[in-house]
Amino acid sequence: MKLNFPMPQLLYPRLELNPGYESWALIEQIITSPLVVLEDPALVDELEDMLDWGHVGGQTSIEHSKILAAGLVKIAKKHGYPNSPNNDQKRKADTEMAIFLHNQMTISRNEAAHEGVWNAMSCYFCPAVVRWRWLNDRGENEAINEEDEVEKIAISERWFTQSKPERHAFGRLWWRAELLKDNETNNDPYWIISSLMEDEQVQCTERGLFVTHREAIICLVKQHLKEIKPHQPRMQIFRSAIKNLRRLALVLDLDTISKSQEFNSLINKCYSEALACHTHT
Amino acid sequence: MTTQPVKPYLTLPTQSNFIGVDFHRNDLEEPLRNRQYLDGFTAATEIVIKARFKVENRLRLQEFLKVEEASLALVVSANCPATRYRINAEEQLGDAKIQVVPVTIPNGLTSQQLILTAKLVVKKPPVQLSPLGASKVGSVLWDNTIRLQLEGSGSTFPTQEHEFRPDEGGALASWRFDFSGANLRGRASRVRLLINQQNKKFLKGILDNPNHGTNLETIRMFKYAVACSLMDYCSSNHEEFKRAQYSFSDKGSLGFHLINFLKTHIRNGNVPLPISSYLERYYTEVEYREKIRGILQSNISDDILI
Repeated sequence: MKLNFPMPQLLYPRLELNPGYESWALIEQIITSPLVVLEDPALVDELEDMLDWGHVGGQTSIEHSKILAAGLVKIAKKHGYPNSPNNDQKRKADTEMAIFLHNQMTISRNEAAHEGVWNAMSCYFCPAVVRWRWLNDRGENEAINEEDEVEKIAISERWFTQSKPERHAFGRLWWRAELLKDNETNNDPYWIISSLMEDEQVQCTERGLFVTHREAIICLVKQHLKEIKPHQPRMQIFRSAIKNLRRLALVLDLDTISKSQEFNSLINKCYSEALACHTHT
Repeated sequence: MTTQPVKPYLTLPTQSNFIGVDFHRNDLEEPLRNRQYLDGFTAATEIVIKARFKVENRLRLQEFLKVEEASLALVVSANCPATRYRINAEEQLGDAKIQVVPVTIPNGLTSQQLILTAKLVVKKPPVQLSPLGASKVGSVLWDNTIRLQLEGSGSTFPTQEHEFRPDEGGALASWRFDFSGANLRGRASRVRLLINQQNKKFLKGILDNPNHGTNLETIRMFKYAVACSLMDYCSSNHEEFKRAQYSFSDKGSLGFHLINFLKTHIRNGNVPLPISSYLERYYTEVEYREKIRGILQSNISDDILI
């Protein structure tokens, strides 16, 4: 049923994954298959019938998502696909894919919050890229150990998610670009995600309710990138600084402070304390 | 056991005689309650919330908090964890007993749940500081929070349009539940509410904005029927509940949705029924069915379904 609303948002195909469905065995097969198998599009054909769309907005076509998937494969190839990527290749591919998805999808936050959108992207449109990026940390030739349930779950949350899109292979990239985009810069609004390391981006996007304090986080990130020196333990320093800011947020209202002159000095204080702590130790 | 003060200056408890707040949607008289579903919410809905602060006596309030000379602000923030979106509005605390602070949440930026927080905050600290008074800009002197469920947005209750087969009722059917067993990864079972996409009349009744039509009755009846169906399912599957296959805290599980839904929609006056205690006890099937029927019969009436 189509409803008319003043601002139609783009709706992407969703794959609502539910164990117990007829296609669940196929999902299990997809997330455990090697890259060569996943490159065959016939493997996931059956999932097309399971694709669904939201109700409020304009539906995008399956072809549109396939074009996006082709773009992701192109980026992966630029960074070593199908060979197993090293950490540097992973980081660069992540950054490029995040910018690509954020620029090309023009998706609203409401739609991006629906996990099915990302499940469709990983399990139906682009499974090979997920396998390439998230095989395991031991190398391409080693098969996934079926007995190791912990590892299986850790890897499977990159494939499909029911509550944590910030852990999903593609969802996490889009959310990083959305939350860390510097709207004050026209030159390169995505310079922050290009400059931050993986763990630093995790600190910015996976800390529950604190994530919504975007202005404070961006300000702290800018301070960090300005002051950090190559020889310093940058991840520990940033992690401590975020924790300092979270502690202050318990007693101070960051919304009110962000509009006052004290804002910058507060951020500065949080960061300086973290820096001093790790520099001395 | 001693308790450590969370805040290093004087603050007020949420339930205070000095200050209180009611949240209202648009200009509706009825205040919003904690865990209430926002009827008729879709991605295209712009939500206007008005926080109505009641301040008994501003001077006495400031004197009590040891911030006599400070400038204080009433702040309302709306926070959506699913979309990581936050917006806030503020107004200076004045002498009026009732002050209204509106906050408008644009469409497309919220999903699943909305957290509304009203705060009393130091905007400008006093010149002469008291050892017990707040001394920094942004110090929170009082706050009150409610969570709202955004109905129809997906994850609060997984709802999907579905084409019903003739043996499922065809075009005449309205909806049904799809329950599935525990999954392969050992997590709790899942539930979906399937809405018949062929039944246009029913779809229109539950999807249109209830504030501008006569659909409230349809929505009330729909919730009633959903509650009955859930209860029936619990009753006939009580053995599985006993075996703890249904986690009540695992987000997305049947138990999670069940508790969430029943707490919100079936209440004894303003007090949610302790549904979880009914479900978690080890009754026999007959006892279980009686208990559940009891809940439905004694509590569902006109003023209970929202």
